[in-house]
Amino acid sequence: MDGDLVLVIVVITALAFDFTNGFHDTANVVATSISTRALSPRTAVAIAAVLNFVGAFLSLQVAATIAADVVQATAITPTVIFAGLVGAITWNLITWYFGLPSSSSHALIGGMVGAAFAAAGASAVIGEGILGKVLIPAIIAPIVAFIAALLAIGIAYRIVGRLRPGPVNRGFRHGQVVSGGLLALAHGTNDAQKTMGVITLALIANGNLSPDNFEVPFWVILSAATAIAAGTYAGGWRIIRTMGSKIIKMDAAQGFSAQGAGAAVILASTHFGFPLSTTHVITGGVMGSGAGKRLSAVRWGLAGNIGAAWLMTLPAAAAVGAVSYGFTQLFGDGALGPTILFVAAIALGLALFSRRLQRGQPVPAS
Amino acid sequence: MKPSIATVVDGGALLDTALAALAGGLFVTLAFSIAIYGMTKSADLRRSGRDVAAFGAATLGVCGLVVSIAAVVVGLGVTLTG
Repeated sequence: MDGDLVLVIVVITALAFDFTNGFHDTANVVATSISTRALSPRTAVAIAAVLNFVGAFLSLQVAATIAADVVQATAITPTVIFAGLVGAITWNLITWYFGLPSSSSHALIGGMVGAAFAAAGASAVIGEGILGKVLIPAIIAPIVAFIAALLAIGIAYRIVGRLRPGPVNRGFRHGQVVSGGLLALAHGTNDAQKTMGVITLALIANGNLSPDNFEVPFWVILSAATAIAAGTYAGGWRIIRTMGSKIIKMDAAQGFSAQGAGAAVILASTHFGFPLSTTHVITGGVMGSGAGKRLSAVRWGLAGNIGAAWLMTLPAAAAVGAVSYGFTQLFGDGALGPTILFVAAIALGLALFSRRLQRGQPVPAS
Repeated sequence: MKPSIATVVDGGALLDTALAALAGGLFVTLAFSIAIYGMTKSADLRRSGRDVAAFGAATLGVCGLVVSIAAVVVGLGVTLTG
């Protein structure tokens, strides 16, 4: 009974994480379209929400990686997964509050690893999986996106550079409707699956699913898709401004190149089951397209701040995950600890959310 | 025996990911840039009365557009299967 109650809390928390993931990350997806005026903020966010929902149904490779290659499903409990989720959500809210586009994916993985380590020691953490499937792809993917966008904008400028700028900009703005849509679709395929993987992991840890036969139930796919789409629609206007205009000032060709490169990297990674940080990849693409025009167009100082937030994400989320697990154990092994933490996390989230909304100055939605 | 990075990392999959992403991103941008070039050039040529050249440029533009759409569809199909 206690196990089932904790499982319900885990599912609700995982979907809440998915919502914050959409809220936090998808701003990055639409930022370039908004920055170049290819789409109005409201339209961009609506398209991104729909395509995130669709994307969530297209693949399960990343979900399999999260469920099988990060922590030992048989060595942990739903309470551990819950504590990991609290770590991820807390870090997501903190970075959102300060307007830093850090990685929700790495927050999730960090939280899970920290909680699993606190609960069952190093043996519960699959170091090889984290290194091979998460850390190394995390380093390589933004670099590939940077190079792809850098080369792509070079090609675009070489071909259309001597034409009248008006029609060229209009053409690339039309192209951005597709490239932005592709990016949103790619985001849905990679990020929604992380939540599916976590819920599946909890179902395995609770004995509802067999660890030997990986299968994501349809209700998990549907609920994860809905949560990320709802989070996307709710938007993250503060981060839109950071991504869309503070790193570089973009023209439509740069926006198209950045989005195309980002979508290509995320889709290819999804195919091989790498749970990428979509934030890292998109930022790599944006910086590549900026550097392709001129290096000084990129605000490297701000990019450095974003990089520092990235570096802190895994250890910070892991620490919060470990502390959260320790807190739940103060109340024994039952459902009381997770329930108290669940209520406290909701209260903290609402407090931060209302404070941010009072202080924030949202981008006009038209 | 501790596993080395070489044994932990699936280098083939990583390389395939990088190459597919580079090829996809660059090819679509190339094709779409050609589409914009063709369409814009066609409009300019038509204004200066060079209708045959304008038709050729428009054809180039349409071809670029068709290829870029086809590349997106094929790329999506390949990456989201298997």
